[in-house]
Amino acid sequence: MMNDARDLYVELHIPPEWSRIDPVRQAVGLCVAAVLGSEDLRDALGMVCAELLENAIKYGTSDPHGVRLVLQQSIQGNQKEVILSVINAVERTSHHLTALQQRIEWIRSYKTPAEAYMAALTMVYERAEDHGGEGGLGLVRIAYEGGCQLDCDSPAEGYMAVHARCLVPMSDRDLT
Amino acid sequence: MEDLIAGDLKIQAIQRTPTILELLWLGKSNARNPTAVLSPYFSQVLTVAMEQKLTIELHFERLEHFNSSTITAIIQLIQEARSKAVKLTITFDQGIKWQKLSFDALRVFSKGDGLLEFRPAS
Repeated sequence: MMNDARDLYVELHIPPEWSRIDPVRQAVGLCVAAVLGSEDLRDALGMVCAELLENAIKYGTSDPHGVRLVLQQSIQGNQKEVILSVINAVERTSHHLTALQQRIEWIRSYKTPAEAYMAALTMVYERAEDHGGEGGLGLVRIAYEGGCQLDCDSPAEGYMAVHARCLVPMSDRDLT
Repeated sequence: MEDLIAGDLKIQAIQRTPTILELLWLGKSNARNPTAVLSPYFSQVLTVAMEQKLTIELHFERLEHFNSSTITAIIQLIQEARSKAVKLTITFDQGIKWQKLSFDALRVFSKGDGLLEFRPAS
């Protein structure tokens, strides 16, 4: 019998504290491993989760609801799509959403995520020669190492959401 | 050379031979600003390596996870080691997908000068 799309649905509201990121990374990874049975996906989506939460905590603003994380899957033809979304409050005057959209467009301007990642690494190296600068590797690492497509939007005024989507082939068990 | 312990990360410094300083990365590197801790430590390591003409071997096989800010710090180490003509080797577990993807990508900094070498292990 075909698996229901709700085989995997996790929603968490997390206080925006740095120390919360690693437990959530591990929890997301374990949920992925439990449902999808892949250690590679466990590590990849755990990393994706940590990078998105780091951004949300660095660039978000305080919100009584904390940072919201949703991990879910849907069926796309003969594949599963796993979607990890992180939603956080931002200052109304923040340019962070625009900056993220520009970064995602920059990643898409390369033929492959690997090419974009190599270009980003080279930029970090060149900045290191000039003794400074932020890395800016998080999103492009999600695309390359996490194998995820990225997009972002504003679900409500004062909030932004980043979605990382990856396709997972159906296993034999899924198809029986 | 002393070990580094910072949060969930431990870097164990071991000198088994007169010419090689091994740095074993253990645990997780997930600090908000890992460069603040790693950069001064790497400066000490490079100073010792220059004085004693050592090769630095970075071992990541037992590292569970690192964040992208840590990758930035490692790239800075690669750049600084090259500028000081200190040889670096990077050993990782190629059987772990995230390690293979992360460290294979850093081969982009191998420039044929023999100062940066990669040793996949499994």
